[in-house]
Amino acid sequence: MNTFKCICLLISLLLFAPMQAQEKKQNPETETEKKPFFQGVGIAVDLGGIGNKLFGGTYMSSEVAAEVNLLNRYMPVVEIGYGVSDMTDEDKNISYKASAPYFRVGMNYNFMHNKDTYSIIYGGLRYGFSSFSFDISAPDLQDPVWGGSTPFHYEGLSCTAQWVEIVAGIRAQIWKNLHMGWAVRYKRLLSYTEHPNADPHYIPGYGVYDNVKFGFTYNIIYYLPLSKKK
Amino acid sequence: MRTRTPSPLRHLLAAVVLLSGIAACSDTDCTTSNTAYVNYNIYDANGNSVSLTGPVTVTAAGTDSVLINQESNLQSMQLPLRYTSTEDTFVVHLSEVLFDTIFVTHQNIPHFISMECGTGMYYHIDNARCTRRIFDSISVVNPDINFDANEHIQMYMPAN
Repeated sequence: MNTFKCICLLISLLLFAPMQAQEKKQNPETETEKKPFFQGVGIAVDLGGIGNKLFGGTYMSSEVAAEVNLLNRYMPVVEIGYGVSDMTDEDKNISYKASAPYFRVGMNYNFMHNKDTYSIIYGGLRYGFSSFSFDISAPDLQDPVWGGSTPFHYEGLSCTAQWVEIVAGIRAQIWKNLHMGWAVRYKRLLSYTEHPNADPHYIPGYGVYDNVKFGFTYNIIYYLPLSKKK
Repeated sequence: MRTRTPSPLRHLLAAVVLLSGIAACSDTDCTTSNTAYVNYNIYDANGNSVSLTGPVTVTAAGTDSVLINQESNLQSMQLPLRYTSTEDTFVVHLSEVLFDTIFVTHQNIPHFISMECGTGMYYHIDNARCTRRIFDSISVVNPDINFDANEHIQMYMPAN
């Protein structure tokens, strides 16, 4: 129920913000100032996925994104990355390996589109997809009733997964066309390939398997000097 | 006079706080033994749940394993399957001379549960049959055996 309320809140944010902007359009000063439709292209790299491994996480991902700025308000975005997990659980002695590319498409909405600033606060939606295979091995299963054991070792279990994300983040200019920002991502798994022997532990682009989870991205963004951002 | 309107920033902060609250709610529920059991229920000819009168003992045929020992008013039972075999045979004793044998053929499915809970054995029941001294018939109602507490097999008593 909390999840539902939260999704409603974020969707309402995306819907209400344009309405506020509509009201402000009636101001004669802003009416005369027509913004160009195409405002530029930004290329972003995510450092959060690399940092995750450095700070003791069980996986690493690297990601680039291309974002088009339309009216300084709508920002369609494509994100392409590569996720790697090669881990062994020391307690259970379970090893898991997966590595594959992933893709996301979606759009950001700049809540500060009518402010004369390079810093932005934005919300957005994403659809994510990854097709990958994973290897998993664990100690033999010991029959507790009659004795005997069965090996547990599987390689190349193929899987596809798709998910949606709600994004909220901020960005600030650090030098000329170079910007920096971070975002939190609320992720919900839509579907994945089920195997009789194992569900995926790590999904590239999504993270460690859970129906709902959070992600964090830390981005460096470069706006291509095709045209002025403002 | 200054009027306060809800700013996108405050909306955003509220959303982040809410989302953080959801993220904090994560639980891990592992079963204690990682062993999946087949759940049997006993019914009369009309489909009503009944119990076997007298003490019931269930053994695994070909072994000295006693799975249920002298239990009275038995309405249901949980029996394991063998990891290294695809057919298991159980004997349900009402007395030394009155007993039935249950034959269960199954597939064994080693399964990764999670990093926290480890691995366990799931099963798929292909067939179940029994002799007819105590019971009249046997029916597999849910062939997939995992850690869910579902009913898998129904045992029916004769009409009289």
